[in-house]
Amino acid sequence: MDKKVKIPSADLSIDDFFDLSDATNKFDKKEKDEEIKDLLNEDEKKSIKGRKKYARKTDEEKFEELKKKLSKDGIDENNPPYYGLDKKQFEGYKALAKAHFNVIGKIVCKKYEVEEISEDELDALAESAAPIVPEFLFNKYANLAITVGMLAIPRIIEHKKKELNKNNPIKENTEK
Amino acid sequence: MDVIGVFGVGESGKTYFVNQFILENYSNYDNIIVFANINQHKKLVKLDNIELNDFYDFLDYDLESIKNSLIFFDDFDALLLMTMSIKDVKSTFLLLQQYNNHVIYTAKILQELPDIVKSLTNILVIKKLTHFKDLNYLKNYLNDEEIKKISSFSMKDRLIIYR
Repeated sequence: MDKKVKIPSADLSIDDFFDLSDATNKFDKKEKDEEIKDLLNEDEKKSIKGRKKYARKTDEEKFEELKKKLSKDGIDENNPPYYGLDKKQFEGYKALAKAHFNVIGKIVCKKYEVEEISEDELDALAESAAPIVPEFLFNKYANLAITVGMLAIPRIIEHKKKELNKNNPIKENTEK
Repeated sequence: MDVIGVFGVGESGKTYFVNQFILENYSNYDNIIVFANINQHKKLVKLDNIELNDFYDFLDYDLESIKNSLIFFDDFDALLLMTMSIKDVKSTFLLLQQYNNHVIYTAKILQELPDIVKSLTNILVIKKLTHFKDLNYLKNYLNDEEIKKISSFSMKDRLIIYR
């Protein structure tokens, strides 16, 4: 925890990654209605309209909350370094986040033909994601822990692009 | 080497259980890797260029780079596997199991791979007691502490170990 590593692409906005319309529109789909119906008994079905409204609202709220949390990307200088979690909790959530980043990071780098993500970079990503991991574990998005991993992808790409540009700055076209 | 299959009906808490397993045991492993069902959640983020094939390619060609790890296949999608030669898929996963300390599968992938089911050293079944959607609904009426109790108190009680 003491080693200082650069937080990849901490300057990126989370809006670059999320497509909120996709996230909320899925609740308009017929299949989602069917899923909700299956969960309800006959009496509850009568109030399905209310439940649908509730589901849509909570999703939007959830993602708004998530966005806010993620916008505080990287270590908060005013609350270093565990975001109110104790060290053991923080390390656990970091390990879990890293487990989700691990292969996806390797795959992304291979796909985009950039140098493989280093252990330090993976650690830094995991540290920045650790505070939001409990959000996924203690609400209905429990299986969305994967999202933590997927959020890493655009960050890795951006980070690697910057790295590539730094090492191989785009040359001006001097050909006549 | 342990090869663990975690079974349970939809949203019974299979993924939750394994994530908790990682949280409680991460210090015992040098490397922990999760292969998740990327297609299930793809719509939530912009990931047009990453496909399931990329994960399978990774398993096929970079297996040695993830030796001696805890590997967790979280609802890893079996659809692609169905379109491939079962013999290849089977040998890839059996090799993966030989290379690694622990491999944990949740049920979906196992549906297509009976030979892997036969090779399981542990079978865990999660009894579904509280639906996550209900839990989410209750969040309107309970405080965080109460919600945490409900979502975690029953894990021991609802875990059945068959092997």
